[in-house]
Parts: sequence; structure tokens; C-alpha cells
Amino acid sequence: MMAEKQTPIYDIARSQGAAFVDIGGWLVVDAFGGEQKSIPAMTRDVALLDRSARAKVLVDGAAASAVVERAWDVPHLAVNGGAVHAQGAVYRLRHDRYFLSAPPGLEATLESTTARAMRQEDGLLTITDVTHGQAELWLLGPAAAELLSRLCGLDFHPASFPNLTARESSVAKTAQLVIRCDAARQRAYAIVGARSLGAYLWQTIIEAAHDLNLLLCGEALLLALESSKERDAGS
Amino acid sequence: MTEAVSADKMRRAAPAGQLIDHERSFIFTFDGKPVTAHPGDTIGSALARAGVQILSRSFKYHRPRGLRCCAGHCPNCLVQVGDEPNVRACLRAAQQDMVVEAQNAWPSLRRDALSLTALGDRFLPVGFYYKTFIRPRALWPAYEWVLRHAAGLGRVNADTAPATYDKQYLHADVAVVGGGPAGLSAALAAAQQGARVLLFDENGELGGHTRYKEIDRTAFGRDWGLEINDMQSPIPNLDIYTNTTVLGYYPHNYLAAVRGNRLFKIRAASVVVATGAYEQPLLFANNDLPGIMLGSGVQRLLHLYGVLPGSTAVVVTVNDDGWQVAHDLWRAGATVSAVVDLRSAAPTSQAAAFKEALEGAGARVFLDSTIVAAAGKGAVQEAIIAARGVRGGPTDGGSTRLPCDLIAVSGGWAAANELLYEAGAQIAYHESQGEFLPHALPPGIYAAGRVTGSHSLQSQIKEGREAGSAAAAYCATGKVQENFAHAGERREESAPSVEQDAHHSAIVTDGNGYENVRQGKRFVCFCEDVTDKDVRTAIAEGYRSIELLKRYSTISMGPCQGKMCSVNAILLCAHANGWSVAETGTTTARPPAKPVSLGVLAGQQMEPVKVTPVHDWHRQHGARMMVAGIWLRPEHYGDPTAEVQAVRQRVGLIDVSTLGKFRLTGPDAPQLLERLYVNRWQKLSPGRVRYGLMCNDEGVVLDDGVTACLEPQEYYMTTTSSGAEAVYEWIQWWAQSGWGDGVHVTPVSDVYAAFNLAGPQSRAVLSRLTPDDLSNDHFPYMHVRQMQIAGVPCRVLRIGFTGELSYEIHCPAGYGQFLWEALLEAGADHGISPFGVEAQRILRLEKAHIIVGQDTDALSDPFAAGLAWAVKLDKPAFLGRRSLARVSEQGPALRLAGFKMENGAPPPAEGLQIVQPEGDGALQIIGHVTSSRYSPTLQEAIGLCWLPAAMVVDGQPFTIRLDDGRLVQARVHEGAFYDPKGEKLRT
Amino acid sequence: MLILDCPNCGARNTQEFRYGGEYNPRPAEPDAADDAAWSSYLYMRHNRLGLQKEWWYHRAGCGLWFLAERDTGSDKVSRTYFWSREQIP
Repeated sequence: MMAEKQTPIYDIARSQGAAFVDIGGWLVVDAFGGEQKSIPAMTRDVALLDRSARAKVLVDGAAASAVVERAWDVPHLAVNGGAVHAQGAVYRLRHDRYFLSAPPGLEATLESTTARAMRQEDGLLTITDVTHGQAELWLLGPAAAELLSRLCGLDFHPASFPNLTARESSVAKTAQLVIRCDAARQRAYAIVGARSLGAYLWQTIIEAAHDLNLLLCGEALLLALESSKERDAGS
Repeated sequence: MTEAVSADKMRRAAPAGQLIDHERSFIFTFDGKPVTAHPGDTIGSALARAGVQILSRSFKYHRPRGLRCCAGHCPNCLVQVGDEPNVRACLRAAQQDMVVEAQNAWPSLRRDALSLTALGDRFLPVGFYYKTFIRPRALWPAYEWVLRHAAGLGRVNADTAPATYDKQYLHADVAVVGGGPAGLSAALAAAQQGARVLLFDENGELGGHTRYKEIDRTAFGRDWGLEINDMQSPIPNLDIYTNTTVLGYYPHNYLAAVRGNRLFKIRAASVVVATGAYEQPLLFANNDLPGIMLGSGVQRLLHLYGVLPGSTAVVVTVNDDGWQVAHDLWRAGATVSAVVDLRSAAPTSQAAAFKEALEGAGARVFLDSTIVAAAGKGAVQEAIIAARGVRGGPTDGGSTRLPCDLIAVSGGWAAANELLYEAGAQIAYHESQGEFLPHALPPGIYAAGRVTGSHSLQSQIKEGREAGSAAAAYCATGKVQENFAHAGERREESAPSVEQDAHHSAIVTDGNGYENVRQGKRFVCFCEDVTDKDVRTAIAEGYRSIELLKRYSTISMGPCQGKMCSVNAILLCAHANGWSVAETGTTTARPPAKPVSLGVLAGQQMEPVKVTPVHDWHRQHGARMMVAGIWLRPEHYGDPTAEVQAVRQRVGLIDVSTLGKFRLTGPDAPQLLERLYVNRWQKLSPGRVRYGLMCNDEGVVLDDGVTACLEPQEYYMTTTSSGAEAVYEWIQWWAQSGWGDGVHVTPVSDVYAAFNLAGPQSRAVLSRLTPDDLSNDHFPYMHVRQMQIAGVPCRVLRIGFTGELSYEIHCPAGYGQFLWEALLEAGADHGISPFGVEAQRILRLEKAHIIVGQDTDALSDPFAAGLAWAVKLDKPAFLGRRSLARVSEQGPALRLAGFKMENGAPPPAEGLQIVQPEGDGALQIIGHVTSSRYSPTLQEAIGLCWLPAAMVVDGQPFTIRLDDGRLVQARVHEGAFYDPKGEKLRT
Repeated sequence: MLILDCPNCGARNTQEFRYGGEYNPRPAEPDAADDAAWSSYLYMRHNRLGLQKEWWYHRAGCGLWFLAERDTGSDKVSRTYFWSREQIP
């Protein structure tokens, strides 16, 4: 039997009626209730997705900046800044730490591409694949910022938190990395943190959204959003 | 002679009332009786319209009380609504089928048995609990029972279903508290300058006092009307929160506010406080009778709810506001029999017009006069007026009795300055105005409107605009505008038309004259039933300062928290002591400024809990879960003894994913390990594992774990589950303050799941899942190998916490569930059993392995804890070496020892004391038990304990004291209880 | 609630941090320190009213340690910065 990989949300999602699809050996939620939910559009709509299977890599070192810029051909970033590239995105968390993000299965690519750009004079550089160790929950839709502000004291106003910003703070009393990563013309936030807290965070987000229109969604929603975006672009 | 007042409280020609929808109505009950209400009514307004005057009984004397302020500031209308006690009836919206009941009255509001306490008031003077009901001591239980049942307000139902509470964080450049004219103007001005503005108002609609006080808006043109009526936030960067009460100000412009069941936590760059003012009562005999209301309370009932609270009114005033109240009453159809103005000069401008109209309608006008007493049974029936010059003498000499069923009192204003105090404003008493007003504000804090003593609408709007602009400018530049005159510095025509000291002297009358006539109590504090006589008594007893007076008399310590009584208490205190008001000072304002329920403060239940990748499997297979720090772990799966036996005889599997795990990389990784641990690391070659003991500079044991060298410059460190976060912080502190060159420490605790496959059959089981050579030659004890198990890439450590041949298997966490099941399946033929924390505790105890934090504490060094073998004092500097050198020389005073119980005795509870009986029967404590279990393998009770070093000799007997006082015997046992040579580990 | 300025993340609520104690540099040669000096390092602190240099850890944030200069009387923090070898202890 082929080994299958489960995210920390797998058990809860199954009990909440999810249907799964295999992506790179991970059991990923396709949709809840067997149907693709409606697209978040109304002010009180927000979708919650488990995207913990996504590739996540940490790059640590005094020369992290130089190496990452070289490897991924991205501009120089200030702390908390981010940039996208062909395979995914990079975010600068500290002077000497970067967080690399990509779709599931690309962790080896993230590691090797970054490693190849290392030079002798860069000094010690440590590249760590933390894909298995972190939950990654996405909030997407017009009410995403409002829901997050029930659990997190950061200022989500666009002026303080523009797209592709990454900040580490406290969400529901746990240490999390919050990334604004708008997708398919929707406001979106990724909350990345310890895997062992994933189930707690999922439940707490659901409870906090008691008076909002929370949609539990899977990858099928994002596909639907992407294709609707293409349709709009083409029309 | 008193004229009988008709008991028929007919409301004729009641005005419409802005909030009320008269077309529809519904019923709720009050003490079982039906009451009609309309949408928009509060419980209080509906009861008032129905003619119900008594809403509650006072706290101490159980005097009847009725609506007074209609703004939620006083305690008179506290009722029980269903499960919820202490609801302010004047604020809570009435609803269909609501069940409302009176509090603090038995058997009924009308006939409250405890009102007899008024007769016994001799026994209930101020501070009575320090003086009475103490002796004879034998009666104290009886006193306590009576007092306990008489005290308190409201009823709590322990079975109330929990409601949903939550919170929200908000951010703003400018936060404006108060949506009256000043606050509204400030919010608009700031927003127009581009600032992000939040405006909070506790009412359902904006406008503040202009909602119920008719003001002449024509002078201000259309703009003002537009601001009030069309308020649906016309500006995108202005957010308006109505029905939201700001509770307190915290450092760095942090505000707490509540709306319904939601708590807002607001961070603002600047704050504008425009919270208005509280109308104050006056002191006169029986000033607490139902039917005596504040002038603003009467206006709220009239204009917001369309209720006329009386048919024959007497209005008493210290300022022009009372004249408007009287005029409003007359226009609504009441008979205003008299207006009593404490000032000597006749009112001017608009108030003069009111006076003329009222006199034309037959009202008597008394200038330079005051109300001496109110009289009535259960409700006011008569007001007794006298000229202010008159002091003393019998009732009839110089006083006038006026029959009435309503007394409206406009006693002056006290700024609602709690938030300003909390923000660090400097506030002083203005003699001329009789108010405590701010004169210096910290940077970023602004105030406008009645809270700064401005009572004219024009001033309020102007100040609001200035404050809002200044606040916006402050946010942009961080500088306080120099040309912005702070509150208190500009006193144009903004002072109310209050004659010098009218309120002040009205309160501080020399009451002696009136005491000669037993006319009734003059209440200063309505919440706690404190009279002005109580205040003078307390001061005479020596509780002179305002702080002592407050605590001794409990004045201002009730539900209103001083809104109705603080100022009056300060004035009385100053007068009785012969001090100025400035010398008297104030007590300290603290949040919350308004009442808030505990549920809102508790908020949404958020208790972080960590679970392993195999959590669901444990739950579904009968595991009893236990809380271990922040983790949920299986304690056992039904029979821990059987689990221990399975591991000793066959093979078991335990989930140890909770272990802390760190990746160390870089050329100087070994050096960091050398510095942090007491053992040697430089020569640990790839493929080898070492047990590490970590101490601090005191030489105290902090943590232990194993570290594996995977490759040169690649180490894999594990720590205890509970120590993981603390150890990471510790390591980072040293790394970031000088020891971090050439090494990186990356936390990977959650990246790997970890399972311990333990028992004589473990090798056989593992072999079924991996092609690797697991023979002892190829994979010896204390080594690490990377291999595929069931197709999953793993790193495997051969270590031996349980004392059996065992393999600690670490795999990427996503595979955890899969690998766990694969191992169990492979072990099925070998009789594999999952085992939990309890079994593991017993297994390690049989090997006398310590658990840091259980067997060691904040004073334990490795020499004392039996770990001297790990300490390499001859290696270069490491944390703890300096202190440990000393301990090594002197030897520890206490030592950790293994023990067995004598005579088949059961295991003593962990924590029990070890004692040395002395000659006279006394017991000296010489140690304690840290770990203790019944060992199924050895079939006797074993454990670990601390003993004086001299006693730690194999076979030495000692005595343990059980909780019930019995003494039991135990004997020291040196070394491991099971497999003392450690042969099983190394097979 | 107070705000603390993390040198990496900027202004955050103090709840995100853990106080790490008064700055107490370790003697360069612990073995050479006499008992009094070593004991002083382990157990004694200045605890002054006024400007204090102290450690803070951004536990719910970047996970970095930094130093703050805070007036213990007014609670006003004048400076936050990372430790570096070059600074005057």
C-alpha cells in the first residue's frame, strides 16, 4: 500500500463531510458535502480552507536575502514583505529568515533551487523543509479580515497590511504566521503555524464565525474561482 | 395642609415619543402581572406608562425606589429579567413575553418584609458590620445566615445555558467616545482630514443629549441637522458603532468597549473623549422616594418614549435646564404647580421665556429657595419648600407644602470624566462652575463638550471640531498642536448659567436646622443607602480622608460607582473637615466605567490544545486521554498493567510525537552543544546518539533528552515534551547573545511524528517493514539510522527509556497515521499492544530513570539526582560548570534514591513526606517521594525519593508519613529495579 | 495594554512578548570568578528605579530576543534593539 499523507485537518474534515482528492501523495479536501460551494461574494461571506499540504520551506542565514533573490529572481524585500515567482512566493520574516511557499509536492524544488544559488562566500545557510510540521489554513472572501480580527490583534487595514505581507503574531492565543495572499480577486489570508495546533485553530475559527456566512471549502472552490477569473478576463 | 393627590395616574395628552411605534404593542410581565409595551420601549418606560412607580427596594433599608435618571446611571431600576440579574430597566428593550421580576424584595415589592430594617436603622449605622452583629459570638452563625440572605442583589441561576460571546480587535487613527454634538463634530472633522476614525456611542442613535432636549438648531443651519439625521457614515473612513459602551482606557490609547455580547479591543493613535456629563441629585429629606426624578430623566421619558411620569409636578433647579424641564412638562399636559430655583436672580434668555409661559399657566415661582423635604407613603405626595435664608425652626415656620406626584430635580452636572482620569488627565474642581474639569491632557488625548464643562451647543460643536482636527493632525505628525487650547483653558460663554456655587452650597447646607425636625433621611448614595448623617458620623469617627470615607461608608461603591454621588460626597467631606475641595481630592477612577457582564469579559472559549498526528486513532481505540501540559495524550487504553506486561514480554508501541525536536546545523554546532550540555559532544560521530543533560549556571537541571549526529554539521536534538518551548527559548537566548556564530537551531518539533517500538520482539516487528539490516552489529544501542519503513523515510534512534530493546522511529508527520497503523499491523502476530503515558511511567520507573521536573525541581543538581556520570567537569567551559565544580567538591546534601516498600505495602502517593521520628513523638521532615508505582514486573511497590545523602545506601530503611498520619516503612534500593545491568537494552 | 516595539516586527501588544529579566552579562571567565562575584551574577540584580536595560522575547512573533531600555518608574520604553558584540555592555 502506498503511504498516504494526512494534514492535521484530515480527521475533522472527514467528520464534517469532506470529499478528498490525492495531490502529490496528500489527501487534500476537494469539497465539503460533495458539492462545490458558491463563490464568496457578499460582505459577510468567508471561505475556510485547509491547505496544509502546500510546500513550506524555511531559509535561514545571514546571506538568506542574497541567496533567495538569486534563486528566485525576486526583488529585494523589506522584513514582512513578499514576492511571487513562477512556482510560488517568498516572504521575508526576519533579517535572516525567509519563508518559501508553493503548491503541494514542490518542496524538493524549493529546496534544490535555493541550494543551487548558494555561493561559498554566503556563509552558513540552512534550508529546512517544514511542510509536514505546519498547518496552513486559508480565509478567503470579503469577510476574511473581519473574521481574523476576532482572533488576532494585527491591523488588517490595507494600508497597514497590503497584499503579499507576512507577519508573525498571535492568533487565537497561538503563535502563527499570517500572510495576505489575495487569490482570484478575493481577499485572502494564509495562517501558518504548528501542525499540532491545526485542529484547534480550525475549530476556533469556525466558532468565531458564528454570525458570518462561513463556507467550508476545498480545492474545488479555488478551481472555480480561477476559472471564473479567466472568464472575466476573457470577456 | 396637604391636598390629597389623586391616585389615578392618568396620562393625558401624552407626547408621541421618538423611539416608540404606537401602532404596535405587546405584553410582558412584571412580578407576574401583564404590562403593555410598544416597540421601542424599555422595560422602564413601559412600566412608567403603566403607572408602576416602585421598581425596586434599596440595598440596606429596603426603601421603595422608582425611575430616577432613565439613563442607566443610578441603581433604582435594577430588575431580574429571566435568568439575568441586575438589569437596568431604563435601558433594556422590552420584548414580547419577557419575564421581569423585582429584586431584593420579599414577599413583594409593595410589602417588602425587610423594609422593617429601616426601623432598626439604629443597628445599621454606617460601617455597621464593624460595630454590630458581632457579639455574643455564639449568635454569629445566626447573624451570618440572616445577613447573607438579606445581602446581595439579584439571583443567579447556576444552570443558565452559556451564551455566545466573542471579541473583535479594532484599529483607528482617532477614536471618539461619545456621539453627541461634540463627539460627532470631532469624528467628522477628523475623518474629513483623512484620518481613520471610529465613533462610539452607547445609545441606539447618535445625538447625545440633543435627542431628548429640544434645542434651537436654526442658528446652526442645515449642516447640523444633516449630521444628526443622515448619519449612516457618509464618509468611508469613519465607522460608527452605536449601542457600544466604552468601558475603560488602558495604556497607549487602548480602549475596551462592549456591544451586546461582543467585547471590542481598540487601539487608536489618539482619543477624543466627548462623554458628556451626569446630572446630579440634591440633598433633602426623603430624596429617594419614587416619583422624584432627575430633570433629564423626565425629559428622556417625555421625548424618547412619550411617557408623562406625573400629573402634578414641582421642579427644583440650580440652573436653566430645570426651566426647560418644567416647560416640557407643561407642554406635555402636566400641571406644573411650582418651579423652585436655588438662584437668587431670575433666569435670563430662553429660560426667561419659559418662566413667563409657566407663570402664565399658573405655576408658582420660588427664587432663592430650595426643597427641604419630600413626603409620601410609597411614592411622593408632597414637596416642602423653604427660602434659602431660613435655617431651622419648626416645619410650618417659613416653609410651603406643595402637593405633587412628581418632583423633577435639575441639580447640576458632573462631567463623565472616568476615561480622562484613566488616561492621565489632570482634573481640578472649578469653583465657579461647581464641576471637576480637565485642565491638562497627555499628548494624543483630547476632550470636548460637556465633559469639559461646555454646556452650550455652539461651544460643544466648535470644541468637537477643534478636537477632531487636532487629533487627526497629531496622528499625522505625532505632535500636539500648539494653537489648540486644551480643555479648561478657554472659558468663553461656555459656562452654564449657574450662579456661583449654587449646586455646591445646595449640597453643603448646614443640615443642623433640618435635623431638628424629623423629616427623613437625606441620601447621598442611593446604591448603598448612605445618608449625609452617615458621612458626618464616619468623619467624626476618624475616617476623614475621602479614601477612608469611601471604604468605611461604602459611598460610591455600588452599581453607580459614584456617578450620582462622588461629587456630593467630596463636597460633604470637604465641608465636614474644613478643607477645600482641592485639598480633599478624589478617589481613583478605574475601569469598567459602566457595568459589564463577566461573560463578555470571558469571551469566546479559546483554550489551545495540541494533538499528535495519531490523535484520532487513540480516541477511536479506547484511549483515555489526559492533559499533559498543552497536549492531549493517551494515558492508557484500558489496562495499563497489561500494557506494561506486553512491553516487557513481547512488544509495545507508544506515541511520543510530543517530544521537542530541533535541527542543529553549521560548523559550530558541536561547540554550541558543548556549551549547553554537561556532557561531551565534540567526538560524537555521525550515526551516534548521546543522552544530554542540560543545566543552567546555578548547576540546576533544566532538561534532558537525546541528540543524534546525522552527519557532520547536522544534529538532531530531542527534549522533553513539556520542556520543548522553554528549551528553545533558552537555546535561542544564548545563540542570540554571542554563542550563535556558525550554528543554526531550527525548531522541527511538529515536522516529525515519533513512536517508540519497545520490547523483546521489537526488532522482529521492525524487520518486517524495512529492508535494512537491524542486527545488533549493524545497528547498536545509542545509534541512529535513516531508513525506509513501510516505504516512509524515517530516522530511527536506538535508545532505552523503557529499559527494553527499543526503536524510537521519527517520520514526517503527514505519514504518522499511516506508519502507526503499519507498525501495529506488522506486530499483530507478535502480540503488539499500544501503550500510553501511564505504562511508560511504570516502565521507566522500573529502570529508575528520572523525569526532569517530576523527580527533580528548581534546586536539583545532577550530582544530587544521581547523574554524576553525565557531568564532564574536565571539558571546556559549559553552563553550570562553575557551580557544579563546587557541588562536586562538597557533595550534595540531599540525593535522589530508589526505594521499595516493605511488607507488600501499596505505593505511597507522590509528594508524601519522609520523616524521622524523634524521641518525643515529633516528626522531622527529611525528604519526600517524587515517583511511586506498583511494578507489575517485580510485583511490589517501587519509587524514587529525596533523602539526606548519608541515608542513600542500599537497604537503608526509612519512614514515609501517609496523609492520614500513619507511618509506613520503605528501603533504599540502589540502581535499576529491573535489569540492573541494562542487558536488555543492548541486545 | 502597553505597546512594545519589536526591532523586527514593529509595534505590538506586550501580550506577544515574554519578559526576560534585567540585563545581566555573564562573566567572561566564570572559573576565575570568586564565590562572591559568581553568586552576585547568579542571584543579585540592580532592580533600579529609573532606566533599566532588560531582555524581551517575542514569543508570539518573530521568536527573536532583544534588549529594551525602560524607565521602571514611568514604564516608558526609550529604545529596543538587538544584542550585538559591538555595544557597550
